[in-house]
Amino acid sequence: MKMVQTEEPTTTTESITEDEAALYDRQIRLWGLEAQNRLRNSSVLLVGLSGAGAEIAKNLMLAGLKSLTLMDHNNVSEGDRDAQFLAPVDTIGQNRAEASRLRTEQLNPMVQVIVDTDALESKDADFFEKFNLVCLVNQAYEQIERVNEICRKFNIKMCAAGVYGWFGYGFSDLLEHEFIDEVKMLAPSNSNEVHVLDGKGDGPEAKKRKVDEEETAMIKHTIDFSSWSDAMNVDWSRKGTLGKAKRSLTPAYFVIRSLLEAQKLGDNATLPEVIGKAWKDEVERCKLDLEEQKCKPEDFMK
Amino acid sequence: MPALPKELLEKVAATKVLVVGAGGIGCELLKNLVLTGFADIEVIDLDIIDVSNLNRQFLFHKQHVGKSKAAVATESVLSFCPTANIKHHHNSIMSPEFGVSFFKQFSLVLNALDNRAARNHVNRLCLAAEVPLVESGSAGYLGQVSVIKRGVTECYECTPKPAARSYPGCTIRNTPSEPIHCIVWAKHLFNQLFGEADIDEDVSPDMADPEAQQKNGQEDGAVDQPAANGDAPQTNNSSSNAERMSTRKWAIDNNYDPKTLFNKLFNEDIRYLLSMSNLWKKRTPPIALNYDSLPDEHPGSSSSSSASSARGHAGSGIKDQVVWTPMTCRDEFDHAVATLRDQLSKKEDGHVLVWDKDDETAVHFVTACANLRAYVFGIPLKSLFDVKSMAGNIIPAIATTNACVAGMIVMEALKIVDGRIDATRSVFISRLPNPRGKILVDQIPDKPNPKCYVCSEKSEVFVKLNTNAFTVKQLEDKILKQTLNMVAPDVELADGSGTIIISSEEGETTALQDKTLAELKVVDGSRLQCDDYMQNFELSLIIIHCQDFKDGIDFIIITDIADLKPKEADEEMPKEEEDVECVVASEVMPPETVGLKKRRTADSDGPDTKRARISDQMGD
Repeated sequence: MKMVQTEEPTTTTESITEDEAALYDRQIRLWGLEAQNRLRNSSVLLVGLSGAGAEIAKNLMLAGLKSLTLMDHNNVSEGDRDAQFLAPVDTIGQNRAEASRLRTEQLNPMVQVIVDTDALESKDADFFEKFNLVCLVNQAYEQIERVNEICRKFNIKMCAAGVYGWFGYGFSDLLEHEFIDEVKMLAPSNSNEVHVLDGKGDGPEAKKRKVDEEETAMIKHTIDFSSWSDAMNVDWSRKGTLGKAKRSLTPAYFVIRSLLEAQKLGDNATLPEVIGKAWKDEVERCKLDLEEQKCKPEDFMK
Repeated sequence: MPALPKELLEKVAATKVLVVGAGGIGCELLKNLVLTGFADIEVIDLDIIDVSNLNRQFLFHKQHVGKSKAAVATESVLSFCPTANIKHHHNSIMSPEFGVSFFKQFSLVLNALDNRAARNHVNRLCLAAEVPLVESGSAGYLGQVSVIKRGVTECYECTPKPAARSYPGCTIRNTPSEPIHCIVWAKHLFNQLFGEADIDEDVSPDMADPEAQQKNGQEDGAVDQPAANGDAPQTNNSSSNAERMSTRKWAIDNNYDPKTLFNKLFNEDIRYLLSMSNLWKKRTPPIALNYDSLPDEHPGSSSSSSASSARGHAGSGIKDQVVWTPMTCRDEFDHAVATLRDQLSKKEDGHVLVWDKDDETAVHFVTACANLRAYVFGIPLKSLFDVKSMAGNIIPAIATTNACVAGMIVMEALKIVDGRIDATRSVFISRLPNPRGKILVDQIPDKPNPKCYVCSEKSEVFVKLNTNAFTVKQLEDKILKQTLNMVAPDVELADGSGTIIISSEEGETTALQDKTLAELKVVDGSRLQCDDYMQNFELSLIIIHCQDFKDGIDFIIITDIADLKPKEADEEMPKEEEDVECVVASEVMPPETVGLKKRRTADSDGPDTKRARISDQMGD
């Protein structure tokens, strides 16, 4: 059983300024000032500046962090022009994280942007310790697995995401995640008296009083998140498991698993026949009914 | 991996598309469009960039504040794809130059709007021009996208949208019980003193309150109407400019002296209300305030410092979240009144101030007045931050939701471009996963409503009103414009006489506007032919005379005659909010839920953010 990491109380950290309050007004009205303060004191690592990575970088920057580290050892390619809007069109051939720096900074000058051009596999466990959240985009299965184990050890929250044509996934491991839910409920006291008072059935009056009696209760929830390997290594061929999966799991899960499997083959990963075969294997391994699948292996071979 | 199949990519590049709105959704959408390969785009937005946009409208940076959204968005997005052809308009989509022929140039229209009036208008123009429309909205974590195509899917107006919540006049004027009642009152007061005075926005005690009169009528008329309306004699609800002007005139005569205004609003009027003793038999009576002896601490607390920390949000470091004490409210009131008086005096003759949530003084005025009134009635006080939300109808917004919505718009747009209208879906982003684990829930679009007065062949609307009291001007403003969403209506009496009672030509029917309908021979059963040339839209309005209306309601629209029969009694007055929360946030239109009551009163005091969140449950 690990310690629950409670976020640092705001007293020991910096609170937002009036300028920031004006800038973040519309989101403070959504998630509150305390959440905004936590964002302001958070350092995030984002690995993989693909198109999806650029989207994530944009949304994180706009939300208002302390710092965002952009990490990528790849260079900007022709294919990035379809989605990677942070790397200007004339930066093809340059390091993708470095090329994205300027536009990322412009999104929110109040957030520090750090660029790291190393490969993810070259980073050992200590490197991750300084972050509050690690996001891996379009990374290889083994690297996600490795970083997830490190994050679990250091109590760091982690997300992973990937986009493959029309398919994509998002994975979150928020460890043992506690959150508070506001629930509206009627206060038990006095409610009888109210009904007696309004016994004449004076509709509007009765309703109004009920609203007044309404109270907001804070209910604490805890969710235990699964690790990457647990989420990806369920034995779906076992009886009963699949029935459950059909009810609550998107069919894309299996497609994504086979895409990640194909990716293990390195450079061949984007070949249609490699993906097609991986999908066919996945269908057989999980004893899925191929007829029921919206996505056929042939779809990848076209 | 290649982006799109080659044939589709060619179709995309050749599609001329109109983006309506360059705000939260619009910025994300423009980025997605050029990255997807759309190369012939026009974008229109009338707004300029505000600092509070920068948390999500990522095409804008601090140095752009004050500039045109459409222009800056175009410039920024061109850097993602310098070869795209993007034309921008810094203008309102409701301007006359953007008529049917303008819309006909496009093969696709994408809405990224934040208000219902513009959505209605674009809906009608797309129907008239027979151009497919992708409609969208977002509010906080919620969002949605739907496709509108004439004859194929339901249009934006096929199901009546619930009107913004309104409050009975006597609750606002006599017996507020919640902070929002005081905030609505304070906004009305702003208009009475500095803005465009509206006869429906009186702020003085309402003698006609049925509750005050019900017993023996002893209160009724026993006391003279207070000075609320100045020297003008008290008249009935059905009057008149004389009364409307008098609050303003009274304030001007007193040179807007803050102390005089304060005494009238928070002392004399309150004492008058206290004299209507029937009102206070079951309620806590209000307390008239004394300008010179207001507490500098919060009601019910022993010291002001503990009060502010208890009432401010946890860890609150920003000044707008601190709740003012009654004394601070008075000082803020003094200062705001003096500032607004100066602003008004600098206006040209006949021009007035317009309340705006981004105008600091206007927000301070409403916060001070609402809180002083709340204090009078023993209602909890609110911080400026909260008052601004409620008074300004601010919808919280984040980049992530808008990015999702913009992505969903493009997915539907691609199906339309590809000629697969049957494959389009309505998609909703809900706050929590549904039982199947889905956050994005899609559904097959509904068929057009055959009784829709906008997109069906036969457009007929019934309206119940008192023909002896309802004026032509009210017909134009309240019914045709505010409720039926016309922009420039022409109205002709369809009795063979061809009498024109409302004309979209400036000044042509001005002489008729204060006449009652009965005076123009518009009576029970009369049929009016209403035509909006700009929207290419016409409908028949059939009058049903009804003498008695209860407080706050003076007409009822019936779009389906079948509704007229069974529950006539209920129609008279929408009950105090049923348990259904059916308020629409302005950036989102919640999926229609069963059991929503049609609301007929239009009121600009829209939903607060809490209610916007409720539409959550409607998402899945």
